[in-house]
Amino acid sequence: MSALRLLWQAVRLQAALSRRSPEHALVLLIAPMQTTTLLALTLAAHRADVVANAVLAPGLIGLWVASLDYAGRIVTEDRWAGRFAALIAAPVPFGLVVAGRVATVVLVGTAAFAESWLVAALGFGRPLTVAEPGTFAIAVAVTCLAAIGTATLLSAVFVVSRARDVLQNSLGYPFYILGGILVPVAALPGWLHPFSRVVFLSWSADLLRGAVHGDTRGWPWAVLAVLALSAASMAAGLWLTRRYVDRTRREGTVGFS
Amino acid sequence: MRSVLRIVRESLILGFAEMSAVYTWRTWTFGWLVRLLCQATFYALLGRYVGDGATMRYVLVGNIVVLACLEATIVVISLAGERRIGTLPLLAITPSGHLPVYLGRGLQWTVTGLTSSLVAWCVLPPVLGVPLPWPRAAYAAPVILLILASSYGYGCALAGVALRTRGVEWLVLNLAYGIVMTFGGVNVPVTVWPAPLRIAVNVLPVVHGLQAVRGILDGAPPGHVLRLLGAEALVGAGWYAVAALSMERLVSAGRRDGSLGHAG
Repeated sequence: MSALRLLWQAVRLQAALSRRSPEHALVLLIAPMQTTTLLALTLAAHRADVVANAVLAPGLIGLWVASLDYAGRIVTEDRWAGRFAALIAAPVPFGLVVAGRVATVVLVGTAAFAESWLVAALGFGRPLTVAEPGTFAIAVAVTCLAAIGTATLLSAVFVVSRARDVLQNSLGYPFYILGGILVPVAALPGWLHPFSRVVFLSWSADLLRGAVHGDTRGWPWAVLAVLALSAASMAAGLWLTRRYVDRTRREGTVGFS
Repeated sequence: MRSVLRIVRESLILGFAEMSAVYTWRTWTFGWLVRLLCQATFYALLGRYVGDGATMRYVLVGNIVVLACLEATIVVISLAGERRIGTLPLLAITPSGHLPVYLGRGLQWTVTGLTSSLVAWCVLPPVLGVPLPWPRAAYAAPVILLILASSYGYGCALAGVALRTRGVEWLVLNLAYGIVMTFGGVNVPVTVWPAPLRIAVNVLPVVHGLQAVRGILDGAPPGHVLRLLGAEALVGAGWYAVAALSMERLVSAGRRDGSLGHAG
């Protein structure tokens, strides 16, 4: 089976599973409320220049939540539901199946961008215009790739770790701050900057806001940084997943939930 | 009275036993609690970024107090869990009746909610450079307790939805908490919303209690603060009444058609 066909089958499998999991729509419920909160605060403070931050942040949060809460649970849920043995017995690379399924969930998260734009336009009469649509589209695309890479890594970490729930519950807001998704990294204390720069959200947020405002100086470097972080997390995720599968085969624990 | 206290005790023991399957005190402190502190900080930083020190204090106070509501409404998940594993009938046949047992199923979240909110109240303002008027700020503690109680009733009432529809507990929880967070005067005063919405938010928990907390910090007259506390208590009582009615109907319908033991 070719890699593309395999990925497509993985997407179909995940779409079928997600249809039976209403909680996968959580991102779409959260985004409008978050946009309303952030826009109300921004506009009450008469800061029209920060509207882009308030509209883009829920989209980035949507991607992160989709990666962390749903995509990240894929392998763990396979074990719990008894699908794991059948999946790794199939004559295809398990890592690619995971990546395809992760991509499906993450791409649903991108709808949060559209929702927050609609809330701003219809609810507050503030339609966000993009000064450089080409750069914006590239920024969204590489951000999605980075989210897929991160989710593949998280999926492997969660299934290896015994503290999955703790990690899932804890890795949201600290990363929203570090990622500068609302308040730019430049406005955070200097000692946080090096940590921020290993979080893809920080590059993505700057890129997206820059594209909206028409200030995209040095954007190719930012795109390269996001792609590099995406590739690194994807490689680490696939490696960790393969190690985990090998270990369960070796130890005879494939059937454990 | 003694039987109610016993139920509270047993519920807390069960709740914390359940929590200990996920958290140790270390992972709770450095994982969950830090996450909640970061949540309040996240919004407070936006307050400082778009406004001044007063905006930041407004946002920070709102987001610290609302942590109590966030945790209290997690009762939705605990109750839906009973439905999922099919133990609702076992709880319903207890000698004390189903209501106190059902209402007690998420009591552990009130303890952790109070702890989180009070830790944030003491730690975040000095760390973020937002001074609170101590010792007056200490009077906020009992108000947070009241907010916690009314939010718990709100959570129990909305758990009725999660008990009737399979797989929606996380949606219900996030919607319940998100509505309070968005429209309840946490980040912006309720006066910024259109008139119908401004009237509607009066039935939400937190709204009046949070105004009382802000009144205490600003040195408002005690009569004004007490009126707000009375309104918060009334709202909470209303939600407990809705919860009791909802659970009564669920159990009586479940007894009649045998659906109480269905896993949703």
